[in-house]
Amino acid sequence: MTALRIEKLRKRHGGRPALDGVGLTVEAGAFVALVGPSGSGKTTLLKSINRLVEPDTGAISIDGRDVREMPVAALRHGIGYVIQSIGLFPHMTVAENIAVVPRLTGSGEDRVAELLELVALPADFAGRYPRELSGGQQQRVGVARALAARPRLMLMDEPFGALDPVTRDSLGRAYRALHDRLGLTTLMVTHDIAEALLLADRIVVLIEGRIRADCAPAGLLASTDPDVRAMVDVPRRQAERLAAL
Amino acid sequence: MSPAFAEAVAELPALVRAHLLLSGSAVGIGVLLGLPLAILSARHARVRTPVLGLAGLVQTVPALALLALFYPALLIVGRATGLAIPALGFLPALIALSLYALLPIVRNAVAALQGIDPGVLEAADGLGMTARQRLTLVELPLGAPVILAGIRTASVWTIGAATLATTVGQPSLGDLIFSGLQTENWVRVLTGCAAAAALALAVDGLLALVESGLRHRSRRRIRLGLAVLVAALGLALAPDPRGAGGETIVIGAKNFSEQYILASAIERRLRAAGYRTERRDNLGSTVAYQALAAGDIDVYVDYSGTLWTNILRRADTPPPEAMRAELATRLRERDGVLLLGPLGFENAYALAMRRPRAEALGVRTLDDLTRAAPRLHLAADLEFLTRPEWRSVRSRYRLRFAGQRSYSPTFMYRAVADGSADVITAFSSDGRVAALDLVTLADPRRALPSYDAVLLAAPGTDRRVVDALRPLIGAITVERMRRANLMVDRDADKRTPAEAARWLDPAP
Repeated sequence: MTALRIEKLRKRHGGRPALDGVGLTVEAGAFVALVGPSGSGKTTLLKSINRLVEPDTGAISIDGRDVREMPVAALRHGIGYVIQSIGLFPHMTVAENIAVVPRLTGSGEDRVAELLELVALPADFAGRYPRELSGGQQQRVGVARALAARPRLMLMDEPFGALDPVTRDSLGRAYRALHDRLGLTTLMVTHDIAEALLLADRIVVLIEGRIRADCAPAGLLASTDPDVRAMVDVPRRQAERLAAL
Repeated sequence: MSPAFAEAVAELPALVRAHLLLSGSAVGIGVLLGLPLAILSARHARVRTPVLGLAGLVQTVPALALLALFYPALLIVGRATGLAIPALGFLPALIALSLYALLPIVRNAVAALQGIDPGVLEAADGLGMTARQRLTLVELPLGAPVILAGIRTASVWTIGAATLATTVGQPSLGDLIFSGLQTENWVRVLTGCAAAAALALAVDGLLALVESGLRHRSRRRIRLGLAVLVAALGLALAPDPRGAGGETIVIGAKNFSEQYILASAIERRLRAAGYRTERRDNLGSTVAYQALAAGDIDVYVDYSGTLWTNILRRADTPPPEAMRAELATRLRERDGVLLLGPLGFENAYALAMRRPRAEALGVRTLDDLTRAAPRLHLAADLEFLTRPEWRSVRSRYRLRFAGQRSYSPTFMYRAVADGSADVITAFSSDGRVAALDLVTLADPRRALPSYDAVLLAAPGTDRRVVDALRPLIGAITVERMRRANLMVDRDADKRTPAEAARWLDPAP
């Protein structure tokens, strides 16, 4: 079943094309990594889906519904959104942060304890403020907040990019497990090719606003495109040098 | 306790209430107006530039001038619209102070809203908050400490600037400061300053408590701070505890000792007749007359020559009786103002010199002065050099001084006493003329009109008010007025204007 369909998306930023005719179809339950150099249009593509960016032309539909026909607030309530800067509300407790979307939709559903457990945080964190938490703990709360309204689609913009390597690795694996357990569809922007190769089922490479490669991790490693090869060679050579030590 | 201090303290409760009400309302309006402006400014650079520019511009106008500007502005608006807009008192003071409070409130609120972490705002948008939800759930709570810091600054400024409201006829703690300065009654000045400073510190402290409550998310501190502030404003708003009953008559006075004394004498007469009274001291010369014509004040004392030249714009100088008779007719026709009669003395402008200096130079008349003037310095009061009388004196006697400066009356007398000026624009009823051994120079060409003190009442003033004041007509000789003035103006054994009024008119 198709969870997300993107057709002929174009967006110009001050004369320069950020997206130059992008088309993409994502099946429900897929974990897709969007990779590419800085300025290749990854974030613009991601933000077009929850309409933080309005594309110039093209169409996006989620579960068969055009996103432009949905009220923007309702559209976003139904999509989990996790960003590199985390963006927890510093004046709210962990519990208030997690419950913010149910509060906006008025569902009044209290899943704080359940969600804390889901992201492997102790229950007594509920009453703490974000500043009392480490970066990794904060992003766990960020993930819990994104999941609070039971979204089926998750958009993640370099979610673990600001964390130290150990935390980054463990949080990445923990999220992948959650993705499988909850049957989510995930689109994750990342700079880190190794992270993409290890976490995702499918990798989409964007270069200068166009899709240059779209395949499973194993396929990417076998790519003959010189630009794609240059990207995947970095982690491969690092692994070889590490093994040689 | 000295009588001056006791008198100042007795006036304090009413003045503190008026002061608090005025500055509280001004800051309130500043917040109601400033926050929406700041929200718009933070979102749109096209709004921000003119709003911050305009608020900054208002701030560069001296507070005193800003207050003074709203009196004629409101008069014009009142005339243009035909509405009964009070041009004197609370309204002009409120508008000027609200504008003054705007800058710190807007500037801080814009900084607060623009200083919020963009990641937090992106999360708010990404989670599906509407613009309004983002404002109320995220931006205002996060900006609150900085926004409140701006309100604190505005409150302290406004409480300080509200002392100037006295000059547009709005009672405030400035009443004590201005009248104290004029009569060199430092006890009054210090009482007024100390009370204003204490008020500012108290409000600042309470708002600091609320601010720290916001920073540390302590509802207790927020509630305590706000509760005390609201209670204080509530007290200021509550009806006067001295109780109602009796009609209130508003008495005006210009900004010198004689005016305070006469206003006190009028006040005593009216209170004896069962009226409640309010004072509007320190009014400018033309402001006082226009305020009377507009009914903002009910009664005050002016001088025939001043009315003749400033209001009727006449340059001729008829004999005193003829001038008074014509004034009574013309003012009634023109504005409905009632001239109740002369008090019995004249307070004329007269050029005066210290006797030894005048004798050494052989100056006895203004004709003599014409010769000596190029080597002499003139010290004038704040109004004289812009008045028609000065143009008339200057042209008829071809006077050219080596230098001329304006002083407030007290300092003008000081200037002639210490020799920094040779000639001053003295007042004939002033006690200091005799005390400093000044000679007033004769005016053979009749350049200066006569300045009989006359009692004026607003259009439609009640017959009984007029009757209550009638005993003052013709009752005050120039000698008695000089002595009363000297009691207030001298340095030793200084009396308050109220005490001098009791001596001047003991009857009621």
